Amino acid sequence: MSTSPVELDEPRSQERAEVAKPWVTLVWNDPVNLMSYVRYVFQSYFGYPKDKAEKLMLDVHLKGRAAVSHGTREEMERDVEALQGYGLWATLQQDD
Amino acid sequence: MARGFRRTRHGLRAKLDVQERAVLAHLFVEVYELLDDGTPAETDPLAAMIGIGTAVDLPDDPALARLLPDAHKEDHEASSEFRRYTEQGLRERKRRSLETARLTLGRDGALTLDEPESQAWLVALTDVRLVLAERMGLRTEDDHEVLMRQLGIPLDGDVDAGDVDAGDVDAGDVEADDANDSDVEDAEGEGGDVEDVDAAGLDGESGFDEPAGRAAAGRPTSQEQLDDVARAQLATMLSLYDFLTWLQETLVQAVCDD
Repeated sequence: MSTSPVELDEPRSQERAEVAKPWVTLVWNDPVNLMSYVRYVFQSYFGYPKDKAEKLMLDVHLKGRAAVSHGTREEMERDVEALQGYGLWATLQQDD
Repeated sequence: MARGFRRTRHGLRAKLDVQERAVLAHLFVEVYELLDDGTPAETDPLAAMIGIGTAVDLPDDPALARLLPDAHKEDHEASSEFRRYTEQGLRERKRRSLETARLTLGRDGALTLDEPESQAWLVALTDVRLVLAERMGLRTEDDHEVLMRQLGIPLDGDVDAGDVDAGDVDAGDVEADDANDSDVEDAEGEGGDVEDVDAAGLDGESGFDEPAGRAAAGRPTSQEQLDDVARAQLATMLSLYDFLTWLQETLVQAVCDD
């Protein structure tokens, strides 16, 4: 068997920076959505346990918004699309 | 008289009379049409398959904009990009839910839903309520109460709603006090005592084409500024909204009961 030298690609510094900066999905309060429905969506879509879903829902309701998930941009885009499908007001942004 | 959703052996069951079903069907159709941008699939079949649309901006209609909001608060370009890839799919899924819900209304006897149909109803009810709320100008937590005062509808702690001469309220005999709060956590199946939702009050003029009772400049600030037609429209919308809120609350509770 012969071996050939393996060249490792160094990740380009820009890619590394993008991976390092995670994104976040935010859900914003609105007067229409039922608290019980919002809690249900967090349990149903994210699979969060009831108390976590409750806490996030209360954060949305009392603080005006809450960060409900974190991850790559693509993952957050998927979450935002799904949450909008449920009628929630969801946006994504870079985490700071 | 409506009976809200409860979990039964056969599924999630509610009792809605003919008038209530007619009103719901009408609302589901109205919002379906709002979501129908009439983009023919034939123009670019490949784009239609992938789901890429041409929409780049927030819809002009504020009710539609609430159903299809910007995904990036600050970055308009990123929002446009997101919208191009997702709006078609979102519209389609929302339309499907509305259509599924509407079709279940045609069933004989009690309305019994399986799990996928319940999901469709949750989404459909949410979207209809969002549209109604936007049309009535309900944007903050206080607006609901403000509107009730404008329409002269008694609130909790005011004169008992039963004392109000029902003839004065064009929307029909809806007791708003049980169903007016979106935090109706303690609504049992029979909460909300919704009677006789006045389907005739719609007359094809549900006010979906434009904000009801509002001049272009903004919402009137006093009772005197609302003319009779505008008042009737708003009162009808509000009672429908409250009915749907109560109904959705019972459905969420029933879905979560296992």
